[in-house]
Amino acid sequence: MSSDTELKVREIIAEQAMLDLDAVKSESTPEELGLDSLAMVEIVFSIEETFDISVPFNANEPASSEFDISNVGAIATAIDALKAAEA
Amino acid sequence: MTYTISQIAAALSAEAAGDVALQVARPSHPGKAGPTDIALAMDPRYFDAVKESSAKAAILPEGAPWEDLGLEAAIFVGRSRYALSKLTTAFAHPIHAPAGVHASAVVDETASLGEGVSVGPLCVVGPGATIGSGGRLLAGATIGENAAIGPDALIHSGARVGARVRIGARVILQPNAVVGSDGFSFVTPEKGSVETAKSGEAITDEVRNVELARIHSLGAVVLGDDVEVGANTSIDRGTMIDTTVGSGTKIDNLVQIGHNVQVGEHCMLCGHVGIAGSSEIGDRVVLAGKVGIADHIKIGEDSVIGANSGVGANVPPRSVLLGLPALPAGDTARIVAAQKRLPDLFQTVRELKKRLSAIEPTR
Repeated sequence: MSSDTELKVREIIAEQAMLDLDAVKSESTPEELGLDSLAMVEIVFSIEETFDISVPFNANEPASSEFDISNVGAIATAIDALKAAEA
Repeated sequence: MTYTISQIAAALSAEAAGDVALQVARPSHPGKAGPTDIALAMDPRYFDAVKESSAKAAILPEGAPWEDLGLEAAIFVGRSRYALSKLTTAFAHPIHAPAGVHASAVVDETASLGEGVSVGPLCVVGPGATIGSGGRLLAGATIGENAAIGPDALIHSGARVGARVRIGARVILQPNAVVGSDGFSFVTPEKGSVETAKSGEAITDEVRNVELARIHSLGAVVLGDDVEVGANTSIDRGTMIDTTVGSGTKIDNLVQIGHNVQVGEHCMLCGHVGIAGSSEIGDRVVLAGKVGIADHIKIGEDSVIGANSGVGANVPPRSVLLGLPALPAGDTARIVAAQKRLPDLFQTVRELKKRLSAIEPTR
């Protein structure tokens, strides 16, 4: 489950960051991938569309959002948790 | 001019290790550092470059494995950009500005020059002007009548200080900066097109701007201590009051500050910022590149306004704004992200309309 989610997240991020899929790893942080706040918002939009979920992400205070964006793996885990909660 | 590692460490208030008596001539990029350079590798991603270089010394982050990088000596710093400030101060190139007045300069006999002042070639210092001790005027700088400049000023080539302008201590004016140009202030004899447009009325024959009468600038400009004004930046004088810039504020190149504007202390105004007349910029505000500030508004202290933003209304303290119109940066990020999706959204709506009209053919 998680690995499917993570693969999709990596694909979304790779497209946004204009990187090869291989360069986006589970432990990669937004900072390492060169993603600024604008890019993170775009990624959150893509995640909402792809997984058909509503992501609790406050773009004005990303650090205090419930949605963990500290690294790629954390994002995938948070998505799985949201999907499970909605199911 | 060379320094020992221990001298540099002392200048940076930092710890050093290894052969601290080693002499280095200049700081260098790690990829280009030679044996007499000190490589700047405050980020671990430069460690490989240091290893491959012939540098014997480097500035590294605290706790870095300096011996593994093939170095003979190292200095350890915490906040790397701040270390750069002290480091570049130590290695700054001296400015050619010998004390005394160059033969080609014109200094009015009623002007007063403090101790050790340097007035370069083709400078002009007007009647009643005062230049504080240690001040340096580089070639072609001009100081207007009764202007007062505090001690240790550095006025670069071609910079203009207007009449009656008052400048604090240790101020730096970059080449061709203008402090004390007239305000852009004009008025129509009758109600004009701008007032009409603002009140939402049509611009008729009667309200055209047939004449623009000049409102003279009777005020001056006052700069606090440690202000820096960038190349080709201009600061207009006030109409009745003085235009002011608080101590410690740094202004980039090509910035326009309008008449009566009051800029607080320790602000940063980046390139192409434009501030219209009578606006107030609070202390420690940062305006990124190309930010435009409308007239007669207040930007609350400690606010950060992102590049290219346009601010048309008062801003509370500590705001982080972006965009045109400037909104909380996260809101603008959401709008920009949503905007990118608009073409797809239109396509989706078209398809939905088609499907809907197939279901409900009468509508």
